[in-house]
Amino acid sequence: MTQELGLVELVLGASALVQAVMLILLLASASSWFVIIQRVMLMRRTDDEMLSFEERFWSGIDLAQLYREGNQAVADGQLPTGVESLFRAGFKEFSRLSQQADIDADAILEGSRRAMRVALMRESDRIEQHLPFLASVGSTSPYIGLLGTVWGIMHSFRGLANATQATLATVAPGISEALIATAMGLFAAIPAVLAYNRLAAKSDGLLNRYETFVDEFSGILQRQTYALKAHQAKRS
Amino acid sequence: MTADRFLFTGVPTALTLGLHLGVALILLVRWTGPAQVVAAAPALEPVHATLVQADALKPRPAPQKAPSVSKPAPKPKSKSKPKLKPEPAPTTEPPLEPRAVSPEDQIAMDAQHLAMLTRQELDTMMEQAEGTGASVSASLRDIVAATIRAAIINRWTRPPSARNGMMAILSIQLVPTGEVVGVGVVESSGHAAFDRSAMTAVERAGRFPEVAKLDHRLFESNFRRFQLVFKPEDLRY
Repeated sequence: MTQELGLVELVLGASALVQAVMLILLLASASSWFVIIQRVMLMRRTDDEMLSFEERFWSGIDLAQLYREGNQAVADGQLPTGVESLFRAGFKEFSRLSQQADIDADAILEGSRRAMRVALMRESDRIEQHLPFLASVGSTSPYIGLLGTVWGIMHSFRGLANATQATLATVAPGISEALIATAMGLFAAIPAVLAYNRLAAKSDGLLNRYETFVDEFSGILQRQTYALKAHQAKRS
Repeated sequence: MTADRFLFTGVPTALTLGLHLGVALILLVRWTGPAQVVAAAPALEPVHATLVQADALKPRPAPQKAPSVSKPAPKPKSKSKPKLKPEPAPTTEPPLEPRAVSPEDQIAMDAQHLAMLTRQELDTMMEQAEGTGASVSASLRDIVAATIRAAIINRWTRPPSARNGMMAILSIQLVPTGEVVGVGVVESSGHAAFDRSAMTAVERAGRFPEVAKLDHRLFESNFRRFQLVFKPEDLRY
């Protein structure tokens, strides 16, 4: 009865299933925190890149010049990310198509839009990667913890059935150790849910801005295409 | 690219590990403090606490003679005699009121556990009594009385109409094997249901095996016929 009720003793004294539940929850908590921190860092960086790129893009720089600047980085092995990859995909397709003489303006626009849409899909995949994992941790880990608690309490009450002297002290350690599982479940779930909501909202906002950029860039390309076609028509 | 990969795996890993270790460390450090209190509490509490309840309910055998407690009993609990039945000679002991210990302890206590404790004590006391003789008999009698009291309290379900301050006195007759052979109301509380609940409690208890271990003289002087006061004081109303 004079049993030490330290945290370590409680965890080590728990039954195998409760211990397994605790281990799962610990892993879930650790990996969800890993994902949270990684996603936050990634989003922050994507945000910064977007701001700096848009600043350069709207500074009146020649688009071919901007594209050539990116070429250097790609040659170094750095794949373009974020809004820059949209720009590169669109502009590459545009310049490739516009070199063909017998193609009309709509086809060029359509091609570059499609290339940008593909790049946008790839970007949204990259940004929203692992977010479903956070959602699953947030929604299931309380249940997993609850399972451990119910199992632990079940066990301690079953032990009570055999005891002739049924006191609170005979079940209290069992219940206490079982409740640790619920606490861990909540500990894993709460940050995961909060982070999921925040990151989902943030990635939505980011993708919206990408789409806006795609539209704006298409407008610019359209203007250039028609100017180009008019120029070619005048020459021929 | 490699620096990038390091940034996006190394930093989150380090932060995650740091966070979890920190939480675990805080829990461990904080836990050790109260853990000792928790561990120590159950060992001591029931003895005092349970007695409080036993007193609060206050059915106890009226001793026939003034106890001559020459040897201090190892248990402080055995001394706790609340308001004694005035019927026989009043005891010389000051009526200790352990009720004042702490009212919230009452919740934590457990009458059955008390019964187990007292039974163990009884056994040790019996062994001692064989060696030292009659000087222990007074405290031995108290322990048996406490056991009987606890056994009856355990089986006493008060009717909903019971109120604090009601009092019924029952006379109980035992035979040397510890069996109850007679229960009667000496002084009614005025509520038939209350009196009946008290009598039912004694009848349900039926037998007190501890009494059988007492020697004949002690039994005859104290437990052949004794009175119990049923007076709830722990009710809400």
